[in-house]
Amino acid sequence: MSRPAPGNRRSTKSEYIETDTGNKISRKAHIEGKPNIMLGGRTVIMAGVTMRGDLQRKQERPADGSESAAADKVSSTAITIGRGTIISTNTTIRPPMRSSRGSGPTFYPLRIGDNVFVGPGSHISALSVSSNVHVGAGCVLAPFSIVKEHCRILPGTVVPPAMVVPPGSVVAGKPGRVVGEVGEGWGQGGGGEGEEWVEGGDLRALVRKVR
Amino acid sequence: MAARPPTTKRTTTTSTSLPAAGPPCTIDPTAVIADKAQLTGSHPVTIAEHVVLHPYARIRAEGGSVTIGPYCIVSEGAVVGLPEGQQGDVVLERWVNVESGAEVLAKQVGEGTEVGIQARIWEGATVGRFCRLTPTEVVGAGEEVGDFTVVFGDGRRRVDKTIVESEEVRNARVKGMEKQVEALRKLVPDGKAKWIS
Repeated sequence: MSRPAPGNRRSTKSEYIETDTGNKISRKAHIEGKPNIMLGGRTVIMAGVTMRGDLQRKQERPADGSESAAADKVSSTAITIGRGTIISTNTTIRPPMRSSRGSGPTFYPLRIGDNVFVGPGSHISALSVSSNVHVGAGCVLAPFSIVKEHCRILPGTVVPPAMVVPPGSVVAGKPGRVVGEVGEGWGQGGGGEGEEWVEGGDLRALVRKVR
Repeated sequence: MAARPPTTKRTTTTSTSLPAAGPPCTIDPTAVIADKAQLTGSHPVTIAEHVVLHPYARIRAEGGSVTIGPYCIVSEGAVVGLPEGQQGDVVLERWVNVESGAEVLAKQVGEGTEVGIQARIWEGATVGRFCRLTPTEVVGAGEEVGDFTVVFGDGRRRVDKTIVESEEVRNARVKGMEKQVEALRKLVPDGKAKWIS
């Protein structure tokens, strides 16, 4: 098989780079500290997204034994993102920082679950965002907030620092408050072939459309 | 699966291919300027000791000079300075924390102030000492925000009495800021060499 001509190759260059596990990462995303970022597969990182994987937990103890060296390796992952998660344009993902007693301030690893949709222009510094959460456009999840499963964060919400959002809540406002619960059956479906995606449901259909 | 085209000839679009001529800079040797931070415009930029500029932070000296005081942190996506077509200088005093996505066009921001995530301070505004702008809050053009004010909840303001009365609290905040700078120094690689001519 012959190689395509350089000109040809250039014209086929798409916006997204697709990895073996089906992650789609925009060429226009700003990703720092790539070795410290884990993507679960079928995850979409759109253009203009800034990810600060370089802000990892500082390694305190020197790696004296093989066991502690392995533990250090695990803890150095700064950003973990689950399967089928979509991070829309111009979102910033930055691990939160806090001073712990005794030592200086350190960054804490940030976790995002499966099938999470993050709207454009948001900022995520939360400690964890669980699966099937829908974050609207222009939201700020302040440092050390925790968002549990099946939540809806309405557009423009500022989730205050260290707030814990219980499962199935609807959050809105500045500062963000729980304004209600998602209805029965919210986020059901969306997984099958040919089905439309639904908020809080399986986002595979939407991920497939991104190219 | 088809083999990928060789990566060697691919030209990256993310690399900072900036023109060599940046603004005239005075950068203290103890400052940390990330490689991907940007300094634009033609007016002078002064960066004092122990400043941290994160990657993708932007100092925009297009409408006037920008002065950044000691122990300031400017995060990713934040912009400090006026754009082309507007005139005026921007001064950040000591210990100012400009969070990610914030935009500071203010005349002056007092010491110990925290400009929250995606907050905006428009041109000509002045912000006092030890203020806090919570995320996404806006201070309008020419407005004045007094010392120790907290701006929150779509423009509501109140004075943080704890910090007014207690010097200890103020010192704790200053110390926290200095410790943060020390921690970031280990994580953000410095690339200020290209801005010093």
